[in-house]
Parts: sequence; structure tokens; C-alpha cells
Amino acid sequence: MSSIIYEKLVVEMTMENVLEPKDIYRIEVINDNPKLTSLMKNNIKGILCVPENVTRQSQHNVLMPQTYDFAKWLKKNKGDITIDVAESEGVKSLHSQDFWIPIVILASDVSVQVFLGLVSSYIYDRIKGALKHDKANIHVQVYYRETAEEVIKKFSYEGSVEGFEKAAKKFNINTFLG
Amino acid sequence: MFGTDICKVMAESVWVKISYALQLIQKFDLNEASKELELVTGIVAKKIDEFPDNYPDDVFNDGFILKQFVSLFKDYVSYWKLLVSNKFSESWSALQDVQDRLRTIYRFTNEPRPPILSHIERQCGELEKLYPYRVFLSTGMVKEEAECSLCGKSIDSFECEHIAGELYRGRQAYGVVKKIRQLDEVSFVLNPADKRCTVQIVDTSEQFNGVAYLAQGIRDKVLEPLSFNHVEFKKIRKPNDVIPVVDRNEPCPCGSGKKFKKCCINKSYIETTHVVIIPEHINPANLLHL
Repeated sequence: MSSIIYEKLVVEMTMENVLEPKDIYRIEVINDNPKLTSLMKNNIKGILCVPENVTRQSQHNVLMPQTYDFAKWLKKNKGDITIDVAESEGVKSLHSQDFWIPIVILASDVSVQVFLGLVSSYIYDRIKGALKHDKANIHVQVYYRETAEEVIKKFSYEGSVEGFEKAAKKFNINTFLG
Repeated sequence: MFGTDICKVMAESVWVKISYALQLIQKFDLNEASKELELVTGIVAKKIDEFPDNYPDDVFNDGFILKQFVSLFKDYVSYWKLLVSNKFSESWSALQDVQDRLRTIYRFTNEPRPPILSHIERQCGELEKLYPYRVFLSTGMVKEEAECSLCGKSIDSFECEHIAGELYRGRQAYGVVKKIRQLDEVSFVLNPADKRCTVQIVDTSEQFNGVAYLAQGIRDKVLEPLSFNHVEFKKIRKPNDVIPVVDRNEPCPCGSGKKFKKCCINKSYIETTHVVIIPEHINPANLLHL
């Protein structure tokens, strides 16, 4: 049984979807973020992993726990995709079983669908050693430019591994249907 | 489970020793089983350490898995030994050691695996239910420098080509945190990376009654360790010792002046959780075949 979770969002035009209990994915339009706008105008290629303070008005200039693990995995397994990591003051270390995928900005040559597929493969690889009773959640934040509307959007997901697959599928269908 | 001929041959002789140790466990001779496994672990480690340098990476990686496999059983016996010694708090950490070994073996091997692995995995999940630990402590910090255990470079950089947790010629890469920039928090969490970080409970606490009951069953030789299958929690009603049972129409013993039926009659029974340990007869020989 799914229960609905509402969260107050402080951004314009939000779309919120609840899949399973505590599985939340959102697509938001991001306004008034000069750091992000300037980074996206800098002709970035592929995937750029960024620290927290780029995307939020946060003081912390630190990367998500699995940033380099994900980036190196991608370089090893999907060599054709460019991935880089922006400068930071350190890496967060959370002693949690969860997967903290790096906060990323996508250039025009990598679509959100492709990125979500890569995250799925990475997670599949990483949970190979998990026991049946282990429970891990995933945290994903992706910034991308919607070319048709010329706006910056953010896809985010927090929840179970199974819920992430559903969220990625739902995102693809919504994008396809426009 | 092993892809290389060298380790396949080694595993066959190890299998015989482990099978014998499992039989000792089923006969409640945990000390003898522990000695046997200690011996096998030492022999396997020595043989693997003496692998010539010209062996390919796969042989070294298989050797690492074989070491983990033998150590799994050593940790498994240690767990039961701590349990029957009523060292419940310590046995929780030993239970985590067993599960960490299983995760490592699963990560680097493919199906089919010996059924003993999934049997121990299920046992671990059920055993955890008997312990009082539900929330755990977890730290949140910012690390400035984490050195790769293999090359010494920063593991959080592209300069180091190793990925934490992966195997390189029989050695697992991990980051050694050399400098913590700031400690942000110590939180209570449900799914920590390390379940050993708990609030300590003394072994004599009634919160360990469930595991104490299981330990007693093993000490009394009514339940063999490998035959522990699962636990069931049932709600049962039992007389409330605080409320003496009197006739419905008599004055209530609580002193309210009302009749018992109008006052505390509903408190004369209390609901409590009853733990049922369910065994399953196991033949260790059937759990080791592929």
C-alpha cells in the first residue's frame, strides 16, 4: 500500500510523484541560481559532479559521499561518456548504507534518461554484495537544461532501489509524452 | 565459485575440512570446531601468501575469496561461542562480522554458490530479530584526505585509479581517512553502514531475553546451531500479577471503592510478546555441495 507524502516546496512549478512509501521523485524548475546558470553556460561536456554549494545556497563546498566512486566506475565501464568533478573543499562521509549519487549537471550531450540508466547500472553493480535483509536508499539530484523551454530543471529522487527504477521509467514516459 | 584451477583444487580440500567443522558444530563441540577452522584458515592464508608472482590476477583474486570463505566459518563459530557464553553484546558484533564476510563473498562471486551461504544469510537475518538493536549511531563528517590502501594517492581523485571496495590482484582497495575537516553530526539512524555502532546494553539486561533463551537451548543441546531456522513473535495474554483476581462484584483491589467489574477488570490480563524459535533439521553435508 502506498501512502502519500506531501512536502512543501519552495520553487515554482513543481511536479511531485509518490511511488512507494517514502519514495519521492520531483522535477523542479530552478530560478535565481547564478552559480548554476554560469556553470551551465561554460560549455561543460558530459557529466559534471558538483559540490553542494553550487546547487543550493549552502555554505558547504563539499562533494557527496560516492562522487569519486561513481565517477571512476563510469570511466571504467562507460569510457565514451565524459565525467568530471568540480573543485571542492572535501568529500562528505556519511556512515550510512544508502547510495549518495553525486549531484550532477548534465551537458547537452547527455540526456537525463541516459544518466538515470547509468545510475541504475551502477546501483545494480554495487548491490551485488547485499544480503536479502539489507535495506539501502538512493539519493539522486540531476540538473539539466530543457532545450525546448530554455530553462534549468532539477530531477531528484530519494527512496528505495525498486522505487528508483519506477521513477526513471515514469520520467522517460513523461518526457516522451511531453 | 572459483574460476581458476589452482583455487578449485585448493577449495576441494578446504571443503572436506569445513564439512568436518560443521559436523562438530552440530555436535555442540564449538571449541573443537573453532580449533579446526583456525588451523584451516592458517594453512589457506600461508598457501595463498606463497603464490608465485607470475600467477595471473585471477588466481590472486580467487585466493582472496577462498580466504574470505574459510574466515566466514571461523567467524560463524566465534559467534555461537560468544552466544553460549552469554556475551550477547559482543555476539552482536560477531554477527556483523559474519554478514560482512558474506557480503564480500557475494560481491566477488556468481551463482551457483554452496547452499550453506544462503542458509547462514537467512540465519543472520533471523538472529538479528532476537536482539534489541533497532536504531544505530552514525557519524557525518567532511573528510579532506583519504589515502588509497594500495597506491597511497588520494582515493577521492582521478590520480588514484583504484575504486574503493574492488579487488586488485587479491587485495581490496579502501580509503584510509588521514584528515577530517569537520565532524558535522552523530545521528541516530535505521540503516547504518556499520551496525556495530549501537548504544551499549549490559549482557544481563532483560532486553537480551530472546537471545538468552536461544543460548540456553544450545547449551542444553536441544537445538543445534545450524538447525536454527527462524523466529516467530506472537502476542499472548497472561495474568497481570499486579491486579489480584477477585469476583466481578467484589470491591476492586485497587481501592477505588468501585466494583471490580466497573474498574480494573480489563487490566487483569496483559498482552506480552512471546518468542518462538523454530528449528529445522539440517544435514551439513547437503549444504556444502554445489
